[in-house]
Amino acid sequence: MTIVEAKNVEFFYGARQALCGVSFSILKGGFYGLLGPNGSGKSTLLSILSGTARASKGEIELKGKRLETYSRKELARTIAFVPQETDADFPFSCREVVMMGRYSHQGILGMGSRGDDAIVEHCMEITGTSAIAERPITELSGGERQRVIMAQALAQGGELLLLDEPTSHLDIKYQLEIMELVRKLNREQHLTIVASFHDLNIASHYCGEIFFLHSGRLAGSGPVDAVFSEEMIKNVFGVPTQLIAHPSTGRPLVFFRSGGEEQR
Amino acid sequence: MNRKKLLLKLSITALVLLALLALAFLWGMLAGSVSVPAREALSILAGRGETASETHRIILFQVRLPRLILAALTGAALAMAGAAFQGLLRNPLADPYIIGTSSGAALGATVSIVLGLREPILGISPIPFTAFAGALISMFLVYTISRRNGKVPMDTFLLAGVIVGSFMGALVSCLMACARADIPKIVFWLMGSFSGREEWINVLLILPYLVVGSVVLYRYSHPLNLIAMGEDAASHKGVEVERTKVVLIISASLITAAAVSVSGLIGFVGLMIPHVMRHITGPDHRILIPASALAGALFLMSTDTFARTVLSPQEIPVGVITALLGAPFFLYLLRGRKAFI
Repeated sequence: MTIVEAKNVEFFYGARQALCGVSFSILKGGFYGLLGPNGSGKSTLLSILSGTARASKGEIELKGKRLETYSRKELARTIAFVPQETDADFPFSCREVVMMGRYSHQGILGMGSRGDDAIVEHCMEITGTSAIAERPITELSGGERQRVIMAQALAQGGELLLLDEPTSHLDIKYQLEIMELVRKLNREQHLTIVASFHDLNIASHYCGEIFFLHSGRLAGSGPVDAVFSEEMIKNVFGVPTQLIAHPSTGRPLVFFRSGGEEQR
Repeated sequence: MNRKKLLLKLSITALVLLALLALAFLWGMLAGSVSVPAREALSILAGRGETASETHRIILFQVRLPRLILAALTGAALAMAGAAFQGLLRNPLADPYIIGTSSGAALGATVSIVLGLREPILGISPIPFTAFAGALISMFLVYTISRRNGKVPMDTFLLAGVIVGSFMGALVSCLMACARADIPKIVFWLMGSFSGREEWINVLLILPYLVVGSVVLYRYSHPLNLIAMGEDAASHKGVEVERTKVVLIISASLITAAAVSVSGLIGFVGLMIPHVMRHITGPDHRILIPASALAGALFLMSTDTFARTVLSPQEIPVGVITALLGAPFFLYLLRGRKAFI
């Protein structure tokens, strides 16, 4: 079943065109990776899908209904968004932060939704944040904070989870921890995942399908094995690489070749 | 936080603050340049003062009581506006005095005074009204100046606030120079004081503005929590961010203007009170805003009583005292921050 259907989406930042006629569909339950160099349109595409930016041209349907006809609250009940990084200036406790994910289900002053407490507990359990529930968000490390933000996104009770380079500010241990969590949400909570990445190997390791973006156009899309190739990466990123199969998963692994190496 | 927990936390905070408020109230009623014996004052307050002197009754009900209430309302207004601005700007250094709201309101009020607009027009008193207009213009300027690509960076906002504030201040001086006759009146009023304003009419004048402003502010206290965590994030959770921001800025300006139009420029209340209360109640604006209101009332009632009794019969403008306390507090906060956002 299709959850998002995008046709000829264009977007302009002033005079600069950030997306030029991008069309794609997202199937329910899928795990999609967006890859492309800086400025290729990954973040723009995610902000259009999340509703913070509106496509200049083209059509996007979310669950069979045009995206722009959704109210902010309706959208928040369907789509959650996890940014690269979350700045916290005020010491809300992690539990309070996760509870904010319930905003779109609540009435005035955040009252009125009965099951909220149970849902928040459940989301904190799934994301492994129950132990830090009472700690202020301002005192957490980047990895812990990202988990709390994932719990918050999960508490929104939507079907589609968008992540904008969710691991780029984390060290490798937390990168893998967060990615394992995303995979768990995909498999066990049946969330559809659309995430942008800088790290090609992380994307290849976790995603089912890949969209390669280049200068605002879709340069290639499909299952990881079909779409990952040395030519594609050379075209999109402009760097020479060599692919081999991951020794245990068989997924493509990307090695970078320097110019010097080629001459040798 | 569920309804029960929220109500419990609110009631405990309110009870403690109301108890302190009652003490500050008693102090304010009993202290002053004319000494009214405590026993007599208490029996007048309890409505059993048949034998009490008429002079004392007037001092209590027509002088001290309205003045205490004005101080309480002003303190509550400035502290609530401060709490709202701090959340909105994600900056604990924001305060209606620092970011130019108060100066804008002062300019608006000065225009009324210089033009001699004192009497109500169509039942609306012009001073709070022009003060509100001045506050809104000032906030609009600050907001527009600091807005870049749809974002409002906080350091720019603070700087723009300081600059627009000084500009408004210069316009006030300019008006004073033009209208020499009113200078003493305006100067005294600008210093921030309740002296000479202890009339019931002033309470009635600002009450509607305060009630409307604070009800709206409280209505939006929950989305304010989400905005305090970041505007894009709030939008992704379902908050209509732009609309909420505009509503909050207008209502915070409204209550600031109400305060400024009776008390002049009283600085730093909106900075210190929400900051202290955040340490006690936590950052949830559904509790922080009412707690700040009560604490602001408590603070300004006490400082005003202090201001009018410490050098009795001489009075110090209460704005001087809040600035003497507030400026070092601001510097302490500024030094304590890891990075200046």
